[in-house]
Amino acid sequence: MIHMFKKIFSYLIVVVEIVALNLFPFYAEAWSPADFIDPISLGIHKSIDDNLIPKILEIGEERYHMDQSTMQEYGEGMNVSTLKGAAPEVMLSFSPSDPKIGEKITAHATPMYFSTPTESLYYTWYLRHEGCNLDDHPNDYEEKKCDKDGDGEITVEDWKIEAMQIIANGGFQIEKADYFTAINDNDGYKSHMGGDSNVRPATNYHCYIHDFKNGENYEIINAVSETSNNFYTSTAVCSEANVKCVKDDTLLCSPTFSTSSVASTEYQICKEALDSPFCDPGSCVGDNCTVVCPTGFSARCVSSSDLDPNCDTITEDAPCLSLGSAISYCTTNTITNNDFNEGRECQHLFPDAPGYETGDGLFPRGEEQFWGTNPNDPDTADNGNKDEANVAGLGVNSFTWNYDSGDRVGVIVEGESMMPTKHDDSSMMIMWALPNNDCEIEDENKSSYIKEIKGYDVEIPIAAVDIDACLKNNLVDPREGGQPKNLEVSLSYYPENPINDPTDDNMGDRVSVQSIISNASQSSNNIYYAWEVKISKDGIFSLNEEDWVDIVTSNEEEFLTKGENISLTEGINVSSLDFDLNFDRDDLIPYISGGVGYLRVYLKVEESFDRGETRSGNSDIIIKFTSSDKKIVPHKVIIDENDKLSLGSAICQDNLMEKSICFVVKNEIIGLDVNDSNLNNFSWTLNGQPLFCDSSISDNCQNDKQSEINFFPVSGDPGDTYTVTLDANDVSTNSNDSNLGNSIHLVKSFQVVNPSVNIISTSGNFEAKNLGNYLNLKGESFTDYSETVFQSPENSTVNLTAEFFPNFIGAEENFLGDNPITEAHWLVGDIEEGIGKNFEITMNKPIGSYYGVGLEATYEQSLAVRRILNEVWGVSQFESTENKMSDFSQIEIVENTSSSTGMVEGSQKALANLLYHFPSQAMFMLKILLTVLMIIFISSAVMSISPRRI
Amino acid sequence: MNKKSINKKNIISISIMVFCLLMLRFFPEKDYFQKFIISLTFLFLVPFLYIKIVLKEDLKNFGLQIGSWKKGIAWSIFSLMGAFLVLILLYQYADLADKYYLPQGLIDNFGLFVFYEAILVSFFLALYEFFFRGFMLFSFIKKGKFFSVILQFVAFLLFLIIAKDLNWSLTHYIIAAFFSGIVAYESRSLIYSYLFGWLFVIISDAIYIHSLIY
Repeated sequence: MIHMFKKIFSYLIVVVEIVALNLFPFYAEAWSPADFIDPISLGIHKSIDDNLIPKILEIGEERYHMDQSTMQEYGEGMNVSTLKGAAPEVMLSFSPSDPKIGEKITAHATPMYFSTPTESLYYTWYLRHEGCNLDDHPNDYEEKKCDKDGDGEITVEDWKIEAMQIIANGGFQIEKADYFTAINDNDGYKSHMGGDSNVRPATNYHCYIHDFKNGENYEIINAVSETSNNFYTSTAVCSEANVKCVKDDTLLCSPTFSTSSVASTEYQICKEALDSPFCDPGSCVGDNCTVVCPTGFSARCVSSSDLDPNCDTITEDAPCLSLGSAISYCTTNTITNNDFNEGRECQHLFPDAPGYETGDGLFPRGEEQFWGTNPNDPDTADNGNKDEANVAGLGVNSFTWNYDSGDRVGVIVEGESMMPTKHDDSSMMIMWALPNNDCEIEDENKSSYIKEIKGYDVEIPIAAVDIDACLKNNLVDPREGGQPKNLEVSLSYYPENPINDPTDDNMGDRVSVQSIISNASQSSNNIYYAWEVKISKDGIFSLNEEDWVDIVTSNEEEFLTKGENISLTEGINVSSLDFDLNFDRDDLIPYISGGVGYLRVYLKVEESFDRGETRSGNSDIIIKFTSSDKKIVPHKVIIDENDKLSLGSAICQDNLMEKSICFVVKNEIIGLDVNDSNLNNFSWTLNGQPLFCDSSISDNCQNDKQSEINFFPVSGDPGDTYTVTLDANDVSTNSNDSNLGNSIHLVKSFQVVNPSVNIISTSGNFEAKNLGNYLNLKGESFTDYSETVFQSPENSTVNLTAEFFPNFIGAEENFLGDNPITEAHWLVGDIEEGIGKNFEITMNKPIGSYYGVGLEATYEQSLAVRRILNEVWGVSQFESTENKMSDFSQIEIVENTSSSTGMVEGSQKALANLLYHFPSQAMFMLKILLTVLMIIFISSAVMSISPRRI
Repeated sequence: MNKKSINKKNIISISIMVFCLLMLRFFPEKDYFQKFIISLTFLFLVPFLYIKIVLKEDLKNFGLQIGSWKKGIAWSIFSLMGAFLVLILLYQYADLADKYYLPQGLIDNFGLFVFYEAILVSFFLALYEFFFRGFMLFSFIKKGKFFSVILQFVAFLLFLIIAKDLNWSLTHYIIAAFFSGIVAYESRSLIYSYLFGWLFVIISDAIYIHSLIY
């Protein structure tokens, strides 16, 4: 701003000189500079045309391209430029912006428009805790908590002390200090008005306050005006000190030696009111005003020594009438205070320890003890300042304390502004900046005085203001502004394109919705979560709440049942939600369109944020899902004469276990297929890596894009897993295609296993040996059958078969041809009795003897498969060797009874069972019969032999 | 009850009752046939023999008589109303529909349901009726008056607790036990209480199945 003024001023000088040099020489002989100021008064106006000056200016404007309106704007701006000064300000910021109770929080002060360097400014911090409002009569609790200087009141001084003690103390443990024996550690600090760098003499201190409403800067004084009262009796002026409010009264005195009387004496006296007389300016008629006294009293001009006598001093009646004249009227004048010494009200706003002054250069032990500083360490806070300098806030532009709910903080920054004073010295305005710039100056406290400076009378505005009184309006809530009111919640889900399985296989995706709260003050262990899942009506994407139906709690649309196919929906630490997409086909019809539906997952979270306060947040996410019974179907492969692969029969389709995870054998080639004619684009991955198939592998594959068919080799070892994923959609550039937006993400898992074989019976008289019963944890009884020992009646025929795992290696076609890939050899004892998948044996040994039946099998990939494994995928021929398997069973020859023959059916079987168990039933009946007889016998005996009454 | 008034007969009868209930729970059994025999023995045979051989009393004194048919029918109707009121409250406030259980076969197959109610339910109700109302209630009816109704009901509950059978599926039987006691007490006959209990259980089961289907 100053720079701009200088610029304008220089510009004007140049303009004036140019005009003068070019035009005024014509009249130079007749003018002096003084004449130019008032030529008319010198009588030379006759020689100058009245329009001469405008003409001169017009020529100047035209010659030098000076625009009149621009010049006017400069002039107008200069007229009010003093009101546009940049008064010092301070801005507070907090870290963290959302403090928790007890957490350290730091307030940073950023001062602006001070000419004093930041490190030389004085920062007087003040901290007001909850319940520490200004109070002249605090209760005991408030006094103990808030009254830091022990004066019985809660004032801004206490707020300052609270903050500056923390700063000066710097975490020092005062119980370690011995304030009685410590020697002076030379930690006093002599402050300077306007900042540590201000070395001007005290006479040059000029303190100002900026009125942010009108932009004026006022020099601070004690009081703007004083009231002068004059009281008059009917005859004379009465000194104000002698004007009293009095009334007549009586004084009853007991007899004394001096009075020599036995009776009490009553005196007439003049009694003074507690309140002084007041010259009411509102009652003035002309200059004469009314004197106001309390009811019953009247104003008189008396000496105070005459009033309210006591019995010891009174000797005679002294009524008011005898003591002085009544006051007739008064006059009152308000006198503006123009007579004061410059800079007399420049005082620091530092807090003081009781009986001490901060910034006086002395920091004795008493002061050290009050501020909690180390008496043996001149810099207790270790910030480079002496202890007293820290109390004065020298360069302390940040303040750290343990936050408590309701804390408010503020800072007063003292320093020299960038605005010079009008005084005839080098002074700049010393000012104080407050966080909210809220320090109102009452109009009646404003005035001005005139001071002669450089021979001119200069008017200087003044104001009486107590900056301390403004502090309550300049408190800042650390959670103000940057403090978020709500928890910010975001949701994400997996998988990206979830698939619903509408079949009874229930192999749909398990959708997992994860929540992240970016601004939680607590861990998820203490945050309350409430989840909801809704489905869109008609399968339409909509943001209208009415278009969504609850599918968890609604009785009508229970797609998801709590405790079954959805994880916990409510409680603390429930930061994620998992549910199965196995919605029934019929139930889902109203809610999908073109096989696509939408789920909307809502989350509400709430945390206990503060005492009695909670913060909450909510979010939702819309999940598009596809309802499809399409799955990745694994196949065996067929190899043609050109060593090209094609899909053989499907595998892993027999039961739910196989559908969820397909067990495969090492060195197998697995074909993959998804039958969905609506899809155009396919992307296959195997364990996260792209899986490609081209025409060199199969004629069903294409070289330019992936198709719905793919192949992969099982080269891993037993225990390894393969995860095949397929992403597909119906995007097509063909205008005839519908482009419905269908997309699917399918997953199929495979696990490599060691092949194995078991001997089982397909028909005939063959049962696993009963080893007894076992109880499960519910107390239910189950029969325990042997897995290796079987029983069969004598002379019966047993049909055995080899059950392979995985079962596709035992497919009938594997045993065909000259070089079957699966072979099974049946051994009875050590002698091979059969070959092939099935075996028949007759039990013609005696009862009680055993047959030992063994099965040795091999599973080997065909040569073509091994060749392709090697050529296409680089699997060494030494890796693709055969797998050997074996099993062994014992068959015990038993009697041909109903229990083991299994020949008896239906009711006959029940009868047979009864007969079979007859011995045990008979024993049971005997037991119960005996029990009954015993009861009857004993009761009869007791009834007959015992006395009638007991 | 005055201690001196407890006579020998009552003590022996109580002992028999307790013994029978304990035997029902603890007599070793392996299959349903044996379970059936045990129930028949200790709920009917033992009390029957005790009454006839030891007490040498007429079974009329234990409810096997026509009794007061007017009271029997009237109290059966009142009891049906009361029992259904209790049932409604349980359906309304205790979610009985979710807790009650009937084998799925009974729900799906009406013939099986009829067989179950006509044979099994009637048989076991008859056993319960004879033991708890006939033997137990009428043993104490002179001394205990209406208290004997409460006593047999509590005994029935204890029996279920000891047998570890106290569950929601027996709700109908438990309700019937109390109101059957009232009917038997008022009519001095087991006929009406038995018919009441049977009718109540059949209708209750039918209502339950109806609520499941519709």
